[in-house]
Amino acid sequence: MTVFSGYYFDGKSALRHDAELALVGDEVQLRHAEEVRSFQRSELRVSPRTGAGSRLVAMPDGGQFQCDDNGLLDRLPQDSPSEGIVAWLEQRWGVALGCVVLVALVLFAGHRYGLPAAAESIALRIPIESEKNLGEEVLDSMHEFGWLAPSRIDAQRQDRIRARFNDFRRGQAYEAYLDLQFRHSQAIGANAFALPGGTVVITDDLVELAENDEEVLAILAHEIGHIERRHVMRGLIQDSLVAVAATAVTADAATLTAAVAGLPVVILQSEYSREFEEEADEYSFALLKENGISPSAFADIMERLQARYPDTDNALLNFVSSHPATESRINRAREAAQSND
Amino acid sequence: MTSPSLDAENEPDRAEPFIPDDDLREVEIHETRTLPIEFTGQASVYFRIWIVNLCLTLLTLGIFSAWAKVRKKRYFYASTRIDDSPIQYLAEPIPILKGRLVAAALLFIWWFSSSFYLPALPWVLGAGLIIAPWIVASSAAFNARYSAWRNLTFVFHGNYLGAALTIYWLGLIPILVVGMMFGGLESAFIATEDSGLWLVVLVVVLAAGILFPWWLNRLKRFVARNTSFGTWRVDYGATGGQFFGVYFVAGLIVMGAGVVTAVLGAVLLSLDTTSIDVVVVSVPLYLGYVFAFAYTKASITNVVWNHARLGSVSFRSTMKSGELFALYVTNALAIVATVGLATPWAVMRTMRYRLEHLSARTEQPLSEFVGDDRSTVHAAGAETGDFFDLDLSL
Repeated sequence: MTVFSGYYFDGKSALRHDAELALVGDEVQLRHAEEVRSFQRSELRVSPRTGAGSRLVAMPDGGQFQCDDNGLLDRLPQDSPSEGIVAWLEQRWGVALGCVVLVALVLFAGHRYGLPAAAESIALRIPIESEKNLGEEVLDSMHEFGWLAPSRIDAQRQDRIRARFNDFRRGQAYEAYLDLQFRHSQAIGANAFALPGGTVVITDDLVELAENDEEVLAILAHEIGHIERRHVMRGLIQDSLVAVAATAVTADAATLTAAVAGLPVVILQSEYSREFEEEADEYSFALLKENGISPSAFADIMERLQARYPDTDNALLNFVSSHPATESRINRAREAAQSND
Repeated sequence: MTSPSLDAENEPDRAEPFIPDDDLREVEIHETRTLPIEFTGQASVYFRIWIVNLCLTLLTLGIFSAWAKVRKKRYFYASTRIDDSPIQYLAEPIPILKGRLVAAALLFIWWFSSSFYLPALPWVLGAGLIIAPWIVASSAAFNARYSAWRNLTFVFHGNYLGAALTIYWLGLIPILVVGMMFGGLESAFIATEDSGLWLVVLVVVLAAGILFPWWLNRLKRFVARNTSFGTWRVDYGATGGQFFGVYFVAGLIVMGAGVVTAVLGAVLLSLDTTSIDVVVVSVPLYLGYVFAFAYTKASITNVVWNHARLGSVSFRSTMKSGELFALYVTNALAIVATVGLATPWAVMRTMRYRLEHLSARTEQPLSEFVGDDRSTVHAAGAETGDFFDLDLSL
């Protein structure tokens, strides 16, 4: 016979009574004051182990018995059986240390390989058509804000560049969606960007900065790389997944202090966009070579951009910046120009 | 342990086993006594709970998070002892998992429309208007029903209508959302030509900002006044004006930090024009923000508890902004320095701080907490309800 001593709560008042619970075979006796109540073992429900040291036993008449935790209580029917194994794991330092290692591995591998792979496979299943709407909206609002105006590049030059852009398009997975737009902009200076849905925008300043059409095409090839590799959609999915994962991991810390939350997400996300830039660079080198243009055109235009905007290369901005150091991009373009494959 | 009645009240069986409760009640009726609140949570125990559950959550791609929530809450509750009895968290993982799946679906719809299909966003928000009161009421009911002390659970009496009247007070939120639905997002936020509409939007947003403390107080009052424990109902007396005072001072703190930051930036700029360290300049602003956060947390918590009663039990909360600020800063430094491993320690010391600064006194013996059959669900009998028995609070 096993006897646990503890307290009894009747479920009708908040008074605590000294009591004992005795297990006699299949029968259970609750003794408090002078009363003795009997139940079947199978009618009891024991609360899960918590780590705080006491367990609660629910009785079929609505009463409850509280006592210090005891391994024997695990042999009675459990209230939430699925937690038993978790509680067992939670008690062991060896398991905890193993979990530290596992968490570190899962977070590292997930961030490095898992999330990008998952985002890519999801992105490739979503038709690019669904981005079209968003791209048009972005372009419209950039006009409304006065950031973009109609291009002032003469029609002949536009047509010449567009003809070669169309050569680039041929055979691409999103051939039907790739579209080139020239715009004049004071706000963003010499610039080019790929919109969701396949539109590439290049500013007049950038076209004029280029010594020749090859340099313009080098930039356009880089933007085609962004579209072909689905960087908008992948970025959106990756950033969302990172945010969800970071919220799950830092949930406890965030409740204490808003001071630490948010920071890791920004760092992790900017790292992804650095990788996208490198990927688009590689894509452009291959596309340029296919069309008989040396990747050194890319290096040339990047050097010109760097000369025009020298400030953007300081150390702090580089760490947070989504663009890899311009120097290393230029070097890689020169290497690509030299290698024959 | 001040009054002699404590022992008799606490352990009637042991002290005077055969004196019926009724006799004790006569003696104690006008005496007040303290109900000690203590927190026994330990960082070493919580560390293992935290890491095991985090690990399983990651390995199951989030599905285990429902178990993780339950395991952590069980430990927090069981480590909180009022008058030497632990609180009990009764919820089970499966209903929480269902709640999380519903919440995830809602979040996905919001994410999708805000990322890809902006024209649908106002309609998504409009649908959100309809379900928000349900989320507020069902979460409050869930939390009450699955929290117990000495085999008595809390009960929440609020319903959808009450929640809707509370959160849509003065109709400000519905006006904003319905305005967006019919005015369109662009005219609400860009509206460069139509300056009249722009002014209306500005006034509504400004009014919403100023009225926020009153709104928050009404929400807290709605949840508190609709909660009961046994036959005792929670009474809540804090006012919106008190909340406004707290947020006003917090705003001044942030503004003050902004001024210091601007001055510091100007000084650094005049000293050395080549490199201004953005991180150094923003430190005062950041600290000011954390201090304002700590001030708001401490002050609102104090105001709420000091004006709340449960039957004849009154509370006293004495958190200090400076102490909480120091706690937050040391927590953040420790968490960053240990790549997150100090998180459980930080959680435990913060909880201990909060509970060490909370005390309760009662003027009547606890036998008065008698539940009648209609209002009381004893913990032993709390069972999982239907599908809509969900916990949507993430």
